[in-house]
Parts: sequence; C-alpha cells; structure tokens
Amino acid sequence: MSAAPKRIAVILAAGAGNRIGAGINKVWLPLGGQELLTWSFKWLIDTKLFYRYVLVVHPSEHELARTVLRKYVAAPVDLVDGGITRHDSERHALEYLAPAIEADECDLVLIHDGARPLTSPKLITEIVQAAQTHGGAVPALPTSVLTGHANQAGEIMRVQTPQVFHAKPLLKSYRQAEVDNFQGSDTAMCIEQYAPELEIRCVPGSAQNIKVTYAQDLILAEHILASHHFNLDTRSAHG
Amino acid sequence: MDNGKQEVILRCGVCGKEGLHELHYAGRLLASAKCKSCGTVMRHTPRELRRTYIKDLQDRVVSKPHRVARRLIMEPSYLWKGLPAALRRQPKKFIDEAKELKKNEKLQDEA
Repeated sequence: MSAAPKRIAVILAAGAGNRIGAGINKVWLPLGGQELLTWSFKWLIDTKLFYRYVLVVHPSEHELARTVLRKYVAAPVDLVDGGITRHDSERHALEYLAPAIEADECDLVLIHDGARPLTSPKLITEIVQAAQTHGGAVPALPTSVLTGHANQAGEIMRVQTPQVFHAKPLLKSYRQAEVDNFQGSDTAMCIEQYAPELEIRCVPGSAQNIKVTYAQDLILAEHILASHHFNLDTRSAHG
Repeated sequence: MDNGKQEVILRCGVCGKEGLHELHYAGRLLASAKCKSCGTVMRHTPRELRRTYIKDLQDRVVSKPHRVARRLIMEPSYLWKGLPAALRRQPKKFIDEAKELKKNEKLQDEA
C-alpha cells in the first residue's frame, strides 16, 4: 500500500426505513452498544487506507448522523444526501467527489453498504489491493442460487460489499448511466455496463460479512462481535 | 431509544414482509424482536440471555474507562456537558436492563 493513500471510502446509509416512512433506519439501531453503522467506520479507519470518508444519508438524518459520528467515529466524515434508490445514492456521492477525482486527488473509491457492520479490516485490505492492481474488486461467496455475478472461473457468486474501483472509470460510468437512465443493483453492475474494459476481480468474501436484513441477523451480528471481543482486527482468522 | 425499545423496518423470516419490528434491548444486547405484521416474536432463551448479559456487563465495566477516555479525547467538553448526566443515569439504566431480562423470562414462561 502506498504511503499517501488517495483513496476515499463511501458508506451508503440512506435506507428503506426512510422510504417506508416509519420506524428508524436500521443503520441507527444499537449493535454492541453503538449504532450499527459506526462499526463499518471503525473497520475502515483501522485499515489506515483512506484519507477521506463520505456518508450518504437521508436529508432528514443529517443531525442524527453528526451526533452519532461525533460520538463514535474517530475521523472527519462528509455527509451527502441520499437518493431514492441505491444507484442514485452512489451517483450523488460520486458527483460530490467529482472535483477530487478530476483533480487526481482520488484514485480509488470504496463503496460499502452501511447495513454490513462486520466487514473486517483484513477483507477491506484484500479488496483494496485487488482493485489497485486490476481496476476493480468485489468480495464474493459461492452460492447455490442463480443470482449474482460470475467470477473469473465462470462460477455464480453472491456478491457482497465493500466494492472498490478506480475512481475515474467509476465516475464516468455513473454519468453515462444517468444519461441512459440506467439503474444498477450494485456498483459492479454499472461498471460492467459502462466500463467493460475495467477488470473486476472477485475476492473471497466472508460468511460473517452479513447484511442486516432480518431480525435474526441482528442477533447473529451481535454474537459475532461479542465472540471477537468487539474487535475484528487484522489478525482475525474469521475474515 | 425509549426504555430499551426501538421500532425499525426489517424483513420478517416468517411472513417474509419488510415492515415494522419492535425490538427490546437488555443493555447492549437484543432481547427480542417482534414482527408487527404477523406477530412473530424472536427472542433469546432466558438462560442464554442472562448468561450473555452477565458476560457483556463484565465487558462493559472493564472497557468503560477506555471508552470514556476515548470520548474525552474526541470531545473534551463531554467532561462537563455529558459525563455528569451519564453518571446520574446509570442506576436507572441498570434497573431497566434487569427489568427487561425479567420480562423476557416471563414472556418465555408464558409461551
């Protein structure tokens, strides 16, 4: 890894709680004594690979986000308004970062789902390394159902986040997608559509890198954190 | 969070709908989650919750000085703006957590 990282991490957290209009967004749920979202920041900051952090939230949650970040996140974080869909939220973040990308102040962008609080620093580092070398990288696990992306060997894989890409083709892809009114289900899909020349490597994902969707996921996440003594450090053997 | 209670949108593993769930916490542990669409309740067994709670409580006590120090480094005004009130809240907080554990045991007995 280079001494002066030109990498920016974006966390998406403008979730369904707001779209449905009731209850809180799950990223603000307590998990192990702090808001679920803040764990992702902890692991990203632990890697020391990023010089800037962006959080995409619903406009109504800026104040809540500031309070929570001040309490638990040991780095400055820029807030960006989310969109109606995940794709829109990613585009908003990339347009916000466009001046830095165009001025060569950012060569890699990591995009992570705020509802995945258990992405270890080790996994983040592996994905960044692969993206740096190849152009793009995503964590993926083999799956028995026919959804997801094919890996280098043509197997169908279940793709997770964080996903990391070279910044300029990523921005270009989202701008072209906007012109074409294209909506991808994840970042890799937009890159595949508009920057097919960019190689996307599948890095072995982790079963513990769960996305909190079901109520039982919260209990599982809590259990995993507790079993690691609330520290998924780089020495963890659990990925 | 209102007395360890929180409402949030999650998907239910039984009815499959994405909708409101009522969550109850004991300390920093999730004690139960109820789907408000179909009424399914998911909870730890009382024994498991009590065992995990005690272990977690020990963890919280041991790590408290470090957590307070970290907070003070990040936000020195916490010393006079937040810490006194936080200390005053502690007894009620532990009582509420004990009540939540008791409630979980009672609900499990009734089920």
